Formats: sequence, C-alpha cells, structure tokens
Amino acid sequence: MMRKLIIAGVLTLIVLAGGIPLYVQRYFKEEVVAGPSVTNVFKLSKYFDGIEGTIADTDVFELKGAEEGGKTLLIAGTHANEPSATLLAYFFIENLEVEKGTVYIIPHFNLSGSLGTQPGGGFPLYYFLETPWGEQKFRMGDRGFQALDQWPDPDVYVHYPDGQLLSYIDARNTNRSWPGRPDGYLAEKVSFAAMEMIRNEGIDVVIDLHEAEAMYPVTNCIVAPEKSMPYAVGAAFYVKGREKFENHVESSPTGYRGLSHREIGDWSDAYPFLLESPGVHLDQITAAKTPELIIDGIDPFVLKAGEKGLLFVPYDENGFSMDRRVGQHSSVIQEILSQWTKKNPDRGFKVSAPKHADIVENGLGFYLKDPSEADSKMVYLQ
Amino acid sequence: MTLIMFLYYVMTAYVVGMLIWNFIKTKDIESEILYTLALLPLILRLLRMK
Ligand SMILES: [Zn+2]
Repeated sequence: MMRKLIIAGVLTLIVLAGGIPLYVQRYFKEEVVAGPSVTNVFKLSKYFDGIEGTIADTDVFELKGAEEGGKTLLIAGTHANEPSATLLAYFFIENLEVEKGTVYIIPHFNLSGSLGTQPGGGFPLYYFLETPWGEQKFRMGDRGFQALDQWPDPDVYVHYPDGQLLSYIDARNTNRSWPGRPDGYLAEKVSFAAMEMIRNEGIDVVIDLHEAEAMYPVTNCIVAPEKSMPYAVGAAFYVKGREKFENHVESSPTGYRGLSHREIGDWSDAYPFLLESPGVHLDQITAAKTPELIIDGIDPFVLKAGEKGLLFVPYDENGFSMDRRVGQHSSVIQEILSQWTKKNPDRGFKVSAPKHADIVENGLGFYLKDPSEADSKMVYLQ
Repeated sequence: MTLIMFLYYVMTAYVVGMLIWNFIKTKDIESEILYTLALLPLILRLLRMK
C-alpha cells in the first residue's frame, strides 16, 4: 500500500511539474502596441461567424492610409514555431507607416498553434527579445493546432475540395487547409474565414510569412503561383540589387493542394505570396533548442552541415539572426508592394518601415514599443 | 467542442478510470509502474494541460 502511494505521488509530481508550465504558457499573453497607422482592430470572425467565440478566431489589425489604394493582407503565425513571422507582424503594427492603401495584419493566424510549444521536439516554452527598455517575452508555438483544440486526428487528412490524401497531421496545419470550408476542421474554418475576408474586402495581395530549415530547399525565398510570379521575381531582383541579400523565387506547385500560395490565388482574385526566411532552430540536426538559438540562429552542427555543402542558404559562424529574418521579411514585403504598385497604380500602396539593413544595424528590439509606457487603450493582448 | 471530441474525452476518462482500478488491484510493481506511465499523457489531456 505504501509503495502504491509513493508511485502515485511520483506520478502526481510529474503531472504537476510537466503540466503546470504548459498550462501557464497557454494563458500567457503577448503585448503589442498599436502604432500610429493602426485604424481598427477586429476579429476575423467578422467575415465568417462560424469561428466566433472559438479558438480559431483571431485579431486582425487594419492600417488604412489617408489615400485610397490597394488592399493587402499579411498573415503571420500560420506555423507558430516560425517566430520571425509574428515578430514581423508586431514590428509592422508598431512601426509601419501607411499613406496609401490598406494593410491588414494577422499576427497569430493559427492562434491555437501559438498556445503551446513542441515539448517532444525539445523546444522551449518562450523566447526573449532584448529591447532598450528590457526583455520582451513571447510564446514559442507549434506547427499546427494544439491537439487540445482539434482532436482527434483523422487516419488520413482528405483535402477539401480536391480530395487529395495528405498526412493525418496536416489536418491541424493551416498551410494545408486552404481554401477551407465552413463545416470542416477548425484549421479549415479559419482558412475559410480568411478566404471570405479576401473575397469580400477585395484584397489584392496576400503575403503568408514563414520560416524554413537551412537544410530544406524551399527556404530563404518567395513562393509564388504563376500569376504572382512577375512581382515575386521583381522583388527578389530588387532586394538583391539594392539591399544585397539573396531571396530566390520558387514556383507554387499545382499538384500539391491546401497551400496558401496555391489555393488563395485559385479561389479568389488576390495575388498570393509566401515568404520563407531561414530559421535554423527548425533544422533537425541542431544542438539544444534554446531560446538563444531561436533568436541568434547560431548552431555548430548547422555550421558543420554548411561546410559539407548541405545547406540551401549562406551560413557562417554569425548564424541567421532574428534581426536578419525579420529584416528580410520587411524588405521583401515592401518590395512586393512596390512592384505591385508599379503595375497597378490605382490599386497601389505607399508604405514604409525600417528595412533589412536598419533592423540588422539597430536590432529588432530597438523598434519594439514598451507596453508599460503606452496608452493602455493601444495595448493589445495576443 | 465537437461531439466527437467530447466523446474522446469520455473515452479518455473511462480509460483513466480503468487504469487507476488496475493500478489499485495489481500486486506486481512492474505493472504498477506501467499503469502509471500509461496514465501520464491521459491525465494531462483530461486536465487540458497538453
Ligand atoms: Zn511554415
């Protein structure tokens, strides 16, 4: 009897020691300060009430310029373990100046995914960014919806409407759920809500932000379908020429369904793009998955792989920092919108924010606003 | 929460109940530890921790 009590006690301790930090992380809120260009903040369920009050609903920040122009939707947090996307979203919400056109920003497209890390992958619960006013803390998320929110998984995920058979795990992946449907999985519902927004608002340009492994060929690039290709090529060309960083173009495959860069273009008039920056914390071969690795992108094993020619990005002992990744996203987004504006002046944009060189020079933290100093009405919990 | 998800929670609670029952009944230490290990993820799910 005594033995059983001891074993049960050990189980209770393990449950509490392992479970409480996960529970606390799920309810930890990130803070973002609405910058001068933010004109409205609303829920995505405005376009599809089927997600209202569910974990699939998420905040949309609207930055509307004084002059009429085009409309763009920036989607971050599709994969919540790719943090340069959400940090770019926060950086833009706080710093982007919009004179012409409207920019919509979703910081956590898959909010559920952001509410729990990948403990099995050895990832930390949080990562931290140095700022002039102290350290800011963010949740490290997972690639898909938390199983807590979308459960059980099917044996095979059948893509709607194509019927293509995909891995069971992709039923929770909001980059296999496009164009979505109103009565499917939560991942499909949130994609459907975004499609409704894109169609009803008449969004011209949709940019989905990601990170990918240095050892994976589709990294450090812009993925674009046929119709978006001229703008993607132009943007890649100009960032290389003017800003001296590499960002190649990959074409969106027609036979692989559910991806944002394929389905958004096929199911609406919008021009989709998907940006990948190199997040080496995602590579399987790294040393410990620490918060520092997420921020500085320095890893000895990835460096070794680079010496053996196994990487698809330029990589040295300085790593691939968050400043570079967010900087690239900032520059490439601004360049895509500039390319778009050249060909579609009536539906064009005039926007500006610090770019790659500035962010690398000053550090991303330099640009983040201190929530404790801001007007509390302008602070949004994410 | 969908009906199917709710039913999965009911099934989990049932299996947790059975495992605890077996844990109490068994006299073998190896079985006790095995039931405990099997209980861990199911309890985390029931408590909505992971
Ligand atoms: Zn991704």
